[in-house]
Amino acid sequence: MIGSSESSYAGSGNGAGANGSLSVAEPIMAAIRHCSDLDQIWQFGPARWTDALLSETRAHIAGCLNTLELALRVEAEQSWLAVALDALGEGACRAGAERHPLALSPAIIDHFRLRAAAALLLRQRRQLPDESAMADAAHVTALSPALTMLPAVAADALVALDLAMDPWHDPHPYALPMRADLPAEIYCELCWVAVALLMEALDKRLSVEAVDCSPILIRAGETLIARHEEHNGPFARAAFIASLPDVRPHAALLGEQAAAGYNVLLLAALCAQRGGIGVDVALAVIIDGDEAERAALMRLVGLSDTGYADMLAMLAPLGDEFADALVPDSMAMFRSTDIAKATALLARRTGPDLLVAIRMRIDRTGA
Amino acid sequence: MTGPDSAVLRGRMDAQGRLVSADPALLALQIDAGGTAGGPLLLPGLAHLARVVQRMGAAISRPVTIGDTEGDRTFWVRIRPAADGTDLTLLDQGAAPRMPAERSGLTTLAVLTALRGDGWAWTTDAALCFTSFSAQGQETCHDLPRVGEPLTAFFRLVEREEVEGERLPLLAAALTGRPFSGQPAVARAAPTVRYMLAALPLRDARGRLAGYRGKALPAETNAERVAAATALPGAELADFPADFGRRLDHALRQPLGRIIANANTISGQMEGPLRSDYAGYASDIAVAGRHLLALVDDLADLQAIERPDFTAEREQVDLADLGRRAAGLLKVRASERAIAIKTPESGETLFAIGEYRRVLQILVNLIGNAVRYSPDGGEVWVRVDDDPARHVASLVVADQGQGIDPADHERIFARFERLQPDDGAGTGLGLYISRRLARVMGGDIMVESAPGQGARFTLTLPLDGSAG
Repeated sequence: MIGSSESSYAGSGNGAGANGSLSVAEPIMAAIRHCSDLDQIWQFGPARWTDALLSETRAHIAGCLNTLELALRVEAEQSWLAVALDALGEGACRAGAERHPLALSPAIIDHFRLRAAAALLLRQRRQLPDESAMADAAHVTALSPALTMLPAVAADALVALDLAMDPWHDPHPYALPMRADLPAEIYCELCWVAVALLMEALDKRLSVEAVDCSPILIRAGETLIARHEEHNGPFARAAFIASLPDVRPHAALLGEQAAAGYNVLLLAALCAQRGGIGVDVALAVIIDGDEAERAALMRLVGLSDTGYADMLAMLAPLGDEFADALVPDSMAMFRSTDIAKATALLARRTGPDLLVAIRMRIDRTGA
Repeated sequence: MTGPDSAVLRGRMDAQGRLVSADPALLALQIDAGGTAGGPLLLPGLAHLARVVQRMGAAISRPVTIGDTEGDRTFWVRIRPAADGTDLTLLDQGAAPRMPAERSGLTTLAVLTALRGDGWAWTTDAALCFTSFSAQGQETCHDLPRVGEPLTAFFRLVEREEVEGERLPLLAAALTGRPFSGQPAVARAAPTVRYMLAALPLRDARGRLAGYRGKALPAETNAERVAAATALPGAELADFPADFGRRLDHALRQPLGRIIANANTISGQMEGPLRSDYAGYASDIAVAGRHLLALVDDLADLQAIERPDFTAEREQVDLADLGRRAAGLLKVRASERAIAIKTPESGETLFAIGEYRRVLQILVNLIGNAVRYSPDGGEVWVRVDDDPARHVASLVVADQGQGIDPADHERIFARFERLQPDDGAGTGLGLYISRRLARVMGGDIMVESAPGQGARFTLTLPLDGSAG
């Protein structure tokens, strides 16, 4: 395979290093691309990325980078660098990310994929016929514990979550800024990605060297990070709602409503609280996890069969594995999962992030 | 620093991670965790998040579970970077819900505790045959097992009071390769010696079950004495769970019935012609299926009759009539080998006390055995007699088979015993069940035989003195 890749990609790069030594990076990359191509061509299993999810993820990454770029420019406005930044024009970070995709780490991609999936699923709300939407709204209002049973703190928190997720109801234009209401770690990393891409653009296009611009941009980045409040973001708001003691007794009902209302983020937060795992972990299980783990999470939160069916219907835009034909098998899996089995299934996902990651790596290497 | 709301805890960490300021409630948590005021923050989840905030320089809002002396509590935590450290704000969300503990973890803990007790250690392979043992200085009044001997051949397992749906934890654990403890058992060689068995599973490099490592702990301590005492009375006679028969019936009878029916259809070529050897195979399948079904019947009977409270109806039965009926049921089988069954004359009666269907079951077994072991073209006699002086009614089944050595006269009435080890006919339970039934009804079954002289099996039952 490497031989064929070399012949196919012979003109794609210079295989020799600066000192004339043979570089193995190029053939390895070529082999990886070839394997990826083969996987795409002959893929029989569910695709990790649908076109809609790809597009939505790009939009969110681009939107947040646009916002960070704007904010960095504002912070650098009073410095000599402002002129150079203006000369770059808009969208420098976005364009830089397209040229240098490796600037985005797996953690960034994973988070934005989850965020985009949550947005994509939520958008189904607006796609219902008006009558259905109104009926659903009336149905939700009639049953909403937030309006009838929960104290003001929880009700306000639910409203705050709705407000935070409101922009996700509509497709986001690629070139416009999107509120970067991200978890702290992701925000920090993306901020430094934006700084790095700006520095690269300034260097390549305007010959402004890093040694000159970095102090200003670093200070700007630090300022943005220090000012960032993750609790305004939808992930944190969902986690906060799930953590409220007054919400816990109603977790099952809220979960049912979240599933019926296409709010996978709230559902994930409720599952996370019950399962002792992070919201992002729970969301990853719902969206990407195997059927058994998904059923286990929903069993822990207390979804009924109807709620589980609603959840499956909600996930339909994400791939063929949620197709109608597979629903009976999924329901059978859910019905066969009791609390004890669910707890045991999810045990490997609990604990510090690093421990979970190591255990997942061990699991992947097989018994 | 104290907040007006007791549900909100506040504190501050310096750049070195020391808790330099805290509300009394937060300080109490710090002290419970082994820390001190002004010392490093020792609340694990909180300290980790604070380090993340210090490293990133960004605020964090997360749920955190913190344990105190009374249990776990959930807090919504907000940590913000400050000029000289980090500010902590904790919103008390109440007690954290505890997920159900994984059963196997608790079981393992119980097993590890048990294995530290005094007893003799053993290991088995995956088939539960002993591979090693060590008395470890323990004195036993019986021989230790042989290597290769099945654990259940050395120990008789005793049912205990149901715990989490299990009366025989060893069997339940062995099916799934889990640890077990608290399994009452007696050594078959010394039934008065009670043990409590506990073991951990052994696994090979691929994670497959390779056997068990356990201990046989003398049931000496109060706890074990209580556990042994709470074993169901008479349960030492039973090797099966109480609902074994029902489970067996349900699990096996229907599939076996289908196998036999389909095999008969194929061997009878009812759906069309078939190669003769394939028809023969199908016939073999049907025979094997019927054998298994007979075993299911016998095992179900065994489970029923070994219940301590098993009784039989007391009603008037006509032994002569039952003898004729049982012979009639076996007539076809006998005629296939030209064996004649001589029964009591029509009109002859002998009334006894017993349960109709159980007596019939015994006679079918006795006459069936006689037919099985008779030579082709031979004869089987069924005769009735009474002994009013002893108030006994008897029915004799005699055959012309090869006879039974007197040394085996009692052995043949034991469970799963056969005269010849390779004798595939029968299940090895028929005579055991028949004698037990007879004794429950106040009678017995005896044998008179010698090699080469056929066999006479005599069923005795209480005579019904009220009959004319």
